[in-house]
Amino acid sequence: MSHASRDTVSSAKPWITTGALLLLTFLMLALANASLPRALEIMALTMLMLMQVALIAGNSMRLRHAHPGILWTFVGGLLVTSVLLYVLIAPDAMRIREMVTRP
Amino acid sequence: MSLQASAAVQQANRWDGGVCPFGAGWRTVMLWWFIISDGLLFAGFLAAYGYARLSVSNWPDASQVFSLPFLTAMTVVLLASGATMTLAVEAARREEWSTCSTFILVTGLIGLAFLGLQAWEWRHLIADGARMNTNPWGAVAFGAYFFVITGFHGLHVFTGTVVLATAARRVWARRATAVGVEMVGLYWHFVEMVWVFIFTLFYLL
Repeated sequence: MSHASRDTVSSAKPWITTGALLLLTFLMLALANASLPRALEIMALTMLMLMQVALIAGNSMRLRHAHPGILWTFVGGLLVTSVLLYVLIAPDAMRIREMVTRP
Repeated sequence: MSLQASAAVQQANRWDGGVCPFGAGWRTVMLWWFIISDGLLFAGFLAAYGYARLSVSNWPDASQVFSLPFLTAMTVVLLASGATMTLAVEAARREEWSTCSTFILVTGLIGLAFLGLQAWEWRHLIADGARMNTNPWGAVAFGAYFFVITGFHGLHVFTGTVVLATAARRVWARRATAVGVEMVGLYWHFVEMVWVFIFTLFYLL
């Protein structure tokens, strides 16, 4: 079934989604300006970013109504690959930094 | 087995996938594949950026280079365009084509406003001395990553505004379908989603 033939969404929903996205954006700005420990800041901002992405993908792109095949290719393809890529390269990047800054 | 019988067996065993193997038409599925592969390209850019960022100690402090209120305005503008795009898709589903066309146009105009803000930001940074191969704030790679990542995203926004203008014209002429408008919406929301990643990873962290 195509998305077009799915249930009709009320007009208020896009604004609720946008409102939630804006709220999260301002929360992220507040966190970025607060003097938090770096690790906590990174974790909190990443979590909020993923919440925003989930809102856009789920509500606006209607991914939660999409076929599981598309849903899992999207989530697996993008999120898992990105996380894997980052987890694999981050230690090497930090090793290079250590080598460069070592007296 | 005769050649004809063999061909008939092959034909019978061939999976035809039905008309909608992914619960969506082939155009929508193809667009999803495009979005996923394009998303992987951005993931590659951002992972490379993360690598560069972690491996050098003098990466510029984003709060000293960028104006956060200005970036917030850019983000608000793009998120608002997501809402108007969703309203356009809803109107297309209800077959209210005039409303749909108006919302698509508004989305395109907001997209142009975003591009204007981005051009302003680039102009400001270039005036401050930022280039692809140099910048006054620290690590040399900063300028290259900034211009490539934000430029590539800006190119997507520009493409989106062209697609939106075409879609608005088609809707206005009653030559569009709800699925077609929905596909335009999918692309636009993807562009919006990529900005969320760039905003957080490049500007805030």
